[in-house]
Amino acid sequence: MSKVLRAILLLAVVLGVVSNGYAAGKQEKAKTDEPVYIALTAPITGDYAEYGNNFKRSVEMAIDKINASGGVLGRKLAVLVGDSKGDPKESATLAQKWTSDPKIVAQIGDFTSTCCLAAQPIYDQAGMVQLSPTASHTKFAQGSKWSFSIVGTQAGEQPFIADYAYNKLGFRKIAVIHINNDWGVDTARYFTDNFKKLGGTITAIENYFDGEKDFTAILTKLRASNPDALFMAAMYNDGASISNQRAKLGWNLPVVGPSSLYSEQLLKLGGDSVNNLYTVVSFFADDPKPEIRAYVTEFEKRYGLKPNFHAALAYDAMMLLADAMKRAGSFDRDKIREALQATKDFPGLAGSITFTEKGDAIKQYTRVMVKNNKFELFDKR
Amino acid sequence: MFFQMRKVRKTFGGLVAVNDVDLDVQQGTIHAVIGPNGAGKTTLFNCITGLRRADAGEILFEGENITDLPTHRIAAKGIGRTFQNIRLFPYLSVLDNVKVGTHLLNPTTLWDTALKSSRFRKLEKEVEDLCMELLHQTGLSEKKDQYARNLPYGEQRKLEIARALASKPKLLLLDEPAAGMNPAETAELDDFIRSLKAKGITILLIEHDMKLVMSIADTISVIDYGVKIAEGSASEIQSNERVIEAYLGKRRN
Amino acid sequence: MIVQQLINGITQGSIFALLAISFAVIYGVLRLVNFATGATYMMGAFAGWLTVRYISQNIFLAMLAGLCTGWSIGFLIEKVAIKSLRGVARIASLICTIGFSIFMIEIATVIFGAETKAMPSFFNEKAFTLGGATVVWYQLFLIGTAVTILLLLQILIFKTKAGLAIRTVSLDFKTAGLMGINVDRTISLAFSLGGATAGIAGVLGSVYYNIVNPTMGNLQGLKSFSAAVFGGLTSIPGAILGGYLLAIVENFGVQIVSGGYRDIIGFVILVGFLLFRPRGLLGKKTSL
Ligand SMILES: Nc1ncnc2c1ncn2[C@@H]1O[C@H](COP(=O)(O)OP(=O)(O)OP(=O)(O)O)[C@@H](O)[C@H]1O
Ligand SMILES: [Mg+2]
Repeated sequence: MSKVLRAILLLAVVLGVVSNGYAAGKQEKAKTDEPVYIALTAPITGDYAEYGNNFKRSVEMAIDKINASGGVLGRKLAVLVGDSKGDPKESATLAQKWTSDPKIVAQIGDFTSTCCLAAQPIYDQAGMVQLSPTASHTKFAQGSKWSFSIVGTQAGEQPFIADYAYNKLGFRKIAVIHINNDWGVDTARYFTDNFKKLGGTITAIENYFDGEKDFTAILTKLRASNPDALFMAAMYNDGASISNQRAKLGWNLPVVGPSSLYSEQLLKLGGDSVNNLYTVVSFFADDPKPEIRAYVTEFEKRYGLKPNFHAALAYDAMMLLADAMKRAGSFDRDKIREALQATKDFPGLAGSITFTEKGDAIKQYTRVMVKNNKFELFDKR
Repeated sequence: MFFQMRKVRKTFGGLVAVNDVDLDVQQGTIHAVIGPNGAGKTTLFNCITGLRRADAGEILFEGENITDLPTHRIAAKGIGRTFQNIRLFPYLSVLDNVKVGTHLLNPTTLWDTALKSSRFRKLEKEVEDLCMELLHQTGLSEKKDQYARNLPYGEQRKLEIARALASKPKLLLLDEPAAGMNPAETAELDDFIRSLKAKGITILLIEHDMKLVMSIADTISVIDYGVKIAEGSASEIQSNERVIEAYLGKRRN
Repeated sequence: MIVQQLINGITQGSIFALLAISFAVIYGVLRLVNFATGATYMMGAFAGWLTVRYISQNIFLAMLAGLCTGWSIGFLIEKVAIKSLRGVARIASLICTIGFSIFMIEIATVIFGAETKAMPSFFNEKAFTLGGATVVWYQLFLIGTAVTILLLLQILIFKTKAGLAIRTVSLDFKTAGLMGINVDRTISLAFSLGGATAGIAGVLGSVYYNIVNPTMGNLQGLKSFSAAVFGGLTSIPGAILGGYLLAIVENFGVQIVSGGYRDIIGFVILVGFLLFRPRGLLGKKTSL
């Protein structure tokens, strides 16, 4: 009997330590003088943890900044962070939790399109803003009037990249590797469609699932199709792994990819293998613009690392939400949505934001490339 | 006293399998435990070797209380055993089965093995020699590389004894060693057990073969329904009324 | 290209085989699947990463660090999940290994952060090309090291006293105890050995893939479990065979069908074997 008890206690301790880390953070904030609550859904643990943590860092930084200058409509803001672990089921469960809590006025998140789509019906039914910094799947924003995304869709980004690859870089035959999730499939499809429209050839397409670490088999297969360049619809971590393994296979060729590759991490993890990689950005951390310098410096000071595109988008999302609340003059969920929908030329770090009728942001893109293990502007050459 | 049991009790649910049994075993003797089927003999052995925990009472070996020691510690004290229903390691070779028995004698560590130290080589040689000698004695040396499960039944019994002897026990518990043996084999076993006694090994023997028991046992204890009902020499037991009653009056099998 | 896929498969298979052995050694003595194997792999990788980052750019030192870390974790898991839960339903220990896995991933996340870290390459120069396939020295090193470890384990288990103890406990721990074998210590040794193997595998894997992060062991652990079931969870040679075969089958599966099917291949094998031949290719019903 006592052994059973011990087993239970032990499990409780193990699980307790795990969950306490998050619970503690929440309670601390809930004590301040009646703030206005924003929910943040992000993958704090799991395969996408580093992206989720960047969300958290940026949003907390934005809130501190807003609160330091008096808050919104005279009230302080506070964030409740929920860990979706990159799992659509968790994301939906959190949506249930947020929407049923009357203290919460709006939600920022989630990271992947897949998670956002899974939670969408819940926000839609309950009537709460679902503002994703990064969901770029074309189905997301148009799926509900409550859903907004500020990253821009692949339908907007990929024609620009296809043009970059075909006209600026002169590639004619491209092989495609993409992650097999909503975002990856969408990205690969928009790229291949646009690249073919321009007259290019797609020599082969291969996909992989979340969490895969070994890409040698896929790369060996793609190599046999003999392309001019490789299109890589991947987050920067996978992108670096793919590049490392490509180099090990002795396969050297230029690589093209979406803006999700833009990160210092790509350079750190990929080393020499990521040279000769071409992508586009709407946020460039080395941009001399003062507001970007201020953000990058502050972020580096607080967290000891350089912010990437995803981090900047999360910062924009929080700032935009605060702006919408100010414009709405209210913390009413409905009013916030209306104000958000009416956003026009909001000056974000990752480009100015204007929503289409469907809730997608129209973005401007800048071409960049990796040279000597650094991101450089392509057109300055 | 060499080996003593004091009021040892073991119950299974409502069934009292061993009922406050006292047992004294003199060093250097062959002591038999007999009794009808289901009397509690094997359970008694299990309590001694630690396979089952006695619910009450104590077991002393060479003056030391071993009642609650884990099985490997009891084995280390010098108590070896065989099993009524054979418990060899089926997927180990005959030789390896015997070697398991030597585990206690062989204090080499992984380091010795890795370094192939001289101590290791010497001990390894001793162990190997001991095992081969035991296999010779039991007539199994030809089959040393076969899986134990592939031996015929009689040879598996012999192998169990060889394995038990490999640990150089002071007290050897044999649970029905003659079961399934033909008269010629049983006669051989008779000699073999005597030879063990001659080497100074004390033997506690459970056996249904009365001819064997009466021929070799120095002392016989009789158990019925978990209770020790008689104890004495072969002739004393043969004329004991309670024993006759237990065996004849209400034979249960 | 066929040659390249084969080499890719053997390299990946070396990592699978080490992890599959880790599963098999522990399953062998305890009939318990240690679900913390993937996390131990990850912790080993972090130990290696810390070593090359802060102590010395020496892969052998990193491997030693991985080994020691894995050994200690295995030891600890046994003490907590197994020993303190002895006598409780088997499921409690199983769940406890899962708890350990989560716990280690969280600890790693807290200490090192969720960001993927770069693990430097070693021996990354081209060794030779063969039929259009490129092989770098590190691949040879990885395969060679894995085979050496596998052989050492094979010797340890089949030729030493400690190995005999492990095998007897695996076959019948009660009788083993009666023969004087310290069952607890043997189980503890098996866990430490399994942990150490996973820890070294973590270092080897992280150098090959050049990355270290808290979740790197998840899929690796799951796939190696498939490999172990494939070869026979109760057989050391089976686990090795399963590791190599699974990786080779996967790599050719990608070549012939598509990358998207690679995990499916692994899990179809897992489910298929669990359903129709639970003892795997080489596993006997009750033998290590
Ligand atoms: N694990 C157990 N659970 C319940 N009852 C048991 C258990 N083991 C033994 N028994 C019962 O205890 C009693 C004694 O069994 P034991 O095996 O000790 O008898 P035995 O004297 O060795 O008989 P035999 O001569 O047939 O070997 C029997 O009634 C048996 O059914
Ligand atoms: Mg019996």
